Amino acid sequence: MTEELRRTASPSALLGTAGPFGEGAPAGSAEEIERLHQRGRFLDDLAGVVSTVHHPARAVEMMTALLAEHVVEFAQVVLHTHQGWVAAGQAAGHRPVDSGGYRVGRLQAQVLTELLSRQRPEHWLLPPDTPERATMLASLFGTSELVGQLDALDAVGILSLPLLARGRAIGLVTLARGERRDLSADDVAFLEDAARRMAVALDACVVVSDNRFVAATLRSSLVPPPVPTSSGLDVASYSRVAQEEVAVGGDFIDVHGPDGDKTILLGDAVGKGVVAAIAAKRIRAAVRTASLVDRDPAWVLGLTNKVLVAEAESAIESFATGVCARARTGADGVVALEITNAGHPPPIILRRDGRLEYVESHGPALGVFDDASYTSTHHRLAPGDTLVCYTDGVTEARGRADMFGEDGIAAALAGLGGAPSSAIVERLAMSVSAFVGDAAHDRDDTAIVAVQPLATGLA
Amino acid sequence: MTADPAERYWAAVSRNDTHEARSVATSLLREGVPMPTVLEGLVGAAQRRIGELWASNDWSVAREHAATAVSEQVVRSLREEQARLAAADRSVGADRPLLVVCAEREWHALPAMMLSATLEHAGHTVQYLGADVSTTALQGALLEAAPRAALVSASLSSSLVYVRRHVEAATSVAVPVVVGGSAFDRDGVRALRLGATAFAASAADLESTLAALPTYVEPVGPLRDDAALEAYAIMAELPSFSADAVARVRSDAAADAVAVEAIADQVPHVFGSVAGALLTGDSTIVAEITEWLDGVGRARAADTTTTQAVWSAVERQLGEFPHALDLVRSR
Ligand code: B12
Repeated sequence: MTEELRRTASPSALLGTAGPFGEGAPAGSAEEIERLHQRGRFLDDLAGVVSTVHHPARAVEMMTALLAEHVVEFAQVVLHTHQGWVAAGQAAGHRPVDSGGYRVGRLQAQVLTELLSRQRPEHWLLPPDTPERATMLASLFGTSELVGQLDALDAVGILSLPLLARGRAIGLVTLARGERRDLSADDVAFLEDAARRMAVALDACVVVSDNRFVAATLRSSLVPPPVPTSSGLDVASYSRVAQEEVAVGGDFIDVHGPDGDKTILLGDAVGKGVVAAIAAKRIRAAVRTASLVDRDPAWVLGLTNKVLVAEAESAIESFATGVCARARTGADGVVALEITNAGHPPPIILRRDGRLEYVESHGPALGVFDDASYTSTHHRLAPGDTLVCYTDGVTEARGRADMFGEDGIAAALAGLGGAPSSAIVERLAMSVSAFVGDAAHDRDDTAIVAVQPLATGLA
Repeated sequence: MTADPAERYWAAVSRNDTHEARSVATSLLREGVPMPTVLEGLVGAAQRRIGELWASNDWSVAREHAATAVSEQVVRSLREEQARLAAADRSVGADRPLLVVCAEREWHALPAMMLSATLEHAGHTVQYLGADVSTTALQGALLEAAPRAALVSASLSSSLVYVRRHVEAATSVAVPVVVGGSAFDRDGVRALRLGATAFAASAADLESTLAALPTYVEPVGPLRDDAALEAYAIMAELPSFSADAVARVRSDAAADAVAVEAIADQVPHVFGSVAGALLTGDSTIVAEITEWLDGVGRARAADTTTTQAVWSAVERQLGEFPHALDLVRSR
């Protein structure tokens, strides 16, 4: 059956069924005045949609609703995006079939694609109860409830207009009047103009949404995957980027490795925004790869450094600092730490009794010297002890007169010995935020990670 | 060991025992106790108790924070557990999400998290963004998720100014905004003045509110009346006003140093609340904060001159703001 349908469903097979457009209502009649009034409302509201709605699906829905409320009795708008088809339809007196529930099927997509490629208006007269009508409606509206609604409206003339932007057809708007009325030539001229405006706006929505999609994909690749509780560690993290518009930055956090033997990485690639985020991603990948061979953090950062130096076009571009820690959980619940520092602010161990220890392990920054070598220091985390790593967005956060600094950290962590990791991260992040105030413009990327042996009751 | 679950939960929370707290809560859920009951009976009750212990000076802020982190972990687990149960019965629709956020600088994340869990329990798809959500981050999420509505949570009256920013951000892309949390009055007067599309006094009341929400709303533009302009100016000067006022309180107050610090810590919140009162035209905010500050002082055996010192330091900074001065003087 599908083969059959596809063949006869081809719009070209049905072309030529269109008749001439009807006459409009006589000039000056009450009906005509009301119609002009409605068109005015439509254009006003459309301008509102165009300036406020930047999400393709929402824009498609709103445009459909405006058309069906003010101009015609039935409207469908479909838009082709990189993420697939976005469609909405509405018949007067019915609930909209919105993009949440409207899935464009495969056959329907074929027909829509063919119509798009024609890049020109199409007009069909489809008398009730004819096989042509059934096929055509199925091609245009798939199996959605819109078909039934159109039948109920007793719509005969159907107009489809391409949405043309930058020389391409990006979508299609399909319209009909009820009660066997057809669209007049004047209606068509008006709707073509409306379609032009809609197309430009929808095109902009698609561009915005594609950009967001790229940024969101990148961002999600930078967020540390959640650590399963079976790993024996309680890990919490926080990160906030300086350039929130692009939603990504150069600070990075990663936690990986088999249960009971985890690698914790936190660092800061030079710069801000997308460029820094790409550099950060590369470092994370290098660390993960190196860790597959040997989990010794000094060796891991040494190899990562070589990769960065070898790949970099310039030292400025590859410069980064970071801390890499290997955390092995013993049978007694105590975590043995090996920590390597590559030019990064010193991590802190917050002991359960509240004492702070700075981890003084120093090595050169990453991506500068080809022959840099690293060492690691050894520490123990008993239950209730916490390792806290952070980027300079914390210590160098600028307040009114001075920087947050290590004093700020000490003040924020006071009394938190033995607290869960998330309390420690949250309190530190909150303190930095309060310290900085609203001066968001000179904020740096900020990242914090806290790790402690998983508490199973510290009574 | 078979004690009342609420007591066992409290015992676990108060000794930072996430493991035990989680197991008390998730086993109730598995036994079929509805999510809202678990949340209210265990988590809500514990949080209120934490608040009292801090107010009465029995607990430090750090301890309050640590215990709340345990509750947060628990609610996180409850949401995961619920998602697993829901995935099993497959009845959840691919609805447009509800976006749940805290106002910017609002770090009370738990109320918004509890709200998210309750909404998910009722079958809604929720995207929860957590504490301290900047307007830019909100805008990004609005573009990416195209939510049905944005739900903004605020616990602090000093967050009301930031709530307004979220209202402006969401409505500028036609998305309806529902506000709630302990920053608001029960009748929703503050919410109305902030231009929110709707207000719900509790998560339970929210269902009918959501059903009545419009799909699209008109943009809510920036406020330009004198009181609002004062509120914005105060917020812009908040760090310096606070620093100066805190310095005065430290030098003027007679109480012991720890008590003075506890009271001085509230100064930014006091300024922010005055701004919130200006923006909403609701003077009861200032009355509430006065009472709260007195309570903090009393519990720390500070005589009234210390809280008095706060108010005179605040007044000094507000010299150029007639509406704000009016509010503070007639409190
Ligand atoms: C824990 C806590 C903290 C922790 C928060 C940690 C965290 N990660 O959440 C810490 C220690 C950080 C903290 C700090 C402060 N806190 Co505090 N804190 C609390 C406490 C004790 C519990 C909060 C909680 O978890 N509540 C959970 C449940 C019980 O909250 P709920 O409001 O009932 O939530 C329900 C409803 O409101 C509703 N809801 C919530 N949001 C929304 C949104 C919508 C749209 C809807 C429909 C419904 C809805 O649904 C929720 C679930 O049922 C409260 C006291 C209390 N009793 O609530 C004070 C309290 C919120 N804090 C207060 C204050 C003043 C502060 C500080 C300013 C103190 C200071 N100077 O340091 C700071 C400010 C920090 C900041 N910038 O955010 C005041 C706020 C007063 C006011 N209205 O302005 C309170 C109320 C204490 C009091 N009695 O005065 N706090």
